[in-house]
Amino acid sequence: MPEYRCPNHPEFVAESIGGWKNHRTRMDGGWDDADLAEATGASPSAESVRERMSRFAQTMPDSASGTTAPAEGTPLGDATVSSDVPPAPEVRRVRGTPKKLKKLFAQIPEVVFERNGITLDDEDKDAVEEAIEFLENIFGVEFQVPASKYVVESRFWAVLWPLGVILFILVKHKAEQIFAGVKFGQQPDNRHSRTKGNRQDT
Amino acid sequence: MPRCAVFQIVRKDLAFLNGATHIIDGQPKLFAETLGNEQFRAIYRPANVQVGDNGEVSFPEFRLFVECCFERGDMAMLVDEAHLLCSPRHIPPRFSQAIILGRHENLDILYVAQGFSLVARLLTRNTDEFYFGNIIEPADIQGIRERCGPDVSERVTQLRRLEDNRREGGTLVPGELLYWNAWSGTERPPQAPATQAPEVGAPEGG
Repeated sequence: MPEYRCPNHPEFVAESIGGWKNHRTRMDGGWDDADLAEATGASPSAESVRERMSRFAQTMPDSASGTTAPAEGTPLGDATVSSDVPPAPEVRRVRGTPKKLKKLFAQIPEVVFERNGITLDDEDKDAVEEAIEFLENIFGVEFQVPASKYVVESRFWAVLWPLGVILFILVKHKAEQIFAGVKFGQQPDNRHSRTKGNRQDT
Repeated sequence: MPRCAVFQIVRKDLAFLNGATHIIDGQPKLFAETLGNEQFRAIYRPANVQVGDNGEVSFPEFRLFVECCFERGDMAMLVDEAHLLCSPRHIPPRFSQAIILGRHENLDILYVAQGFSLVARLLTRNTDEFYFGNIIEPADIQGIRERCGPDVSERVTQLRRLEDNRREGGTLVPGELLYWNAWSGTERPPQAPATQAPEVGAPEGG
């Protein structure tokens, strides 16, 4: 329960601001903003500015060497918030549903309808796309990874990039020769799969 | 102005030295204690300058400077080279807080910037008084036209520019300034200080 005291009548204690105002008007002929601010605790305390700033200075670093740039979005509340509060970790969110995959999913109902002899008009297609989007929002996948990227500190790893490109081009253009010996989808040669006991020498 | 503090980025700038009582280099704690005095004219010079990946310069101590001034209240806070501390796209949260709520703490804010359009809109819209020098940048003129009217935007283009004749053995002739306030336009209120144009670089920007 708050208490509001009258400066001229210490024995009087009001439980509400209205009661305090009534008392001051009745007994003291009125009140001013300073009185009201003091009664409600809104005015600065008797503490001197020097003491207040001296206390505030204890929250400040001695030197600027340790100061860092403030994190974005720091709330504007208390101006005396300590700078020790760690900033929120920065993360990056990436949607896990590729656009082409989404388009592919959207075509499935269309194909089903066509197989059943139903040709979709533009409105129907829009409705199907909207439904797919809705499903994506409900069941979609997002990756949340740290905003900082992996840093490679050795420059020699950079050689891997052109080497990878060269390898890719070689594989692309020489794939026929590389995989010439591999026959996909054929039965393995029976001669190699025979067991020793079945071998018949002529 | 018995109590004022300036955040001075350019150390070679001598404009504020004349009346300074305290010069504090990168010591936020000492600065906060200094603000506890009844009277002071403090210069705070940041010691920690950081350059981001995008080349933007930031001054982490500016946040501490503003926090100290906001906590102290009943004083004037001067921000030199304000275009280096905020931009149309970004303003430090503490600076924003001081601009919006500083009146409750009786905190006067003055700033100096090289261009009207280089600082945050929040700053210019809350500025009651301007001293404009000669301006030819279209973006600045456009901003002044929206804020102060077409007459003022036209007049700032015709102000006499600063003349620096020191290389030829001459003197530095300050440029002509145009005063404007939010109440009576270019007419100076009777209680305003002397109409003498301040020296170039003096904290009369906002």
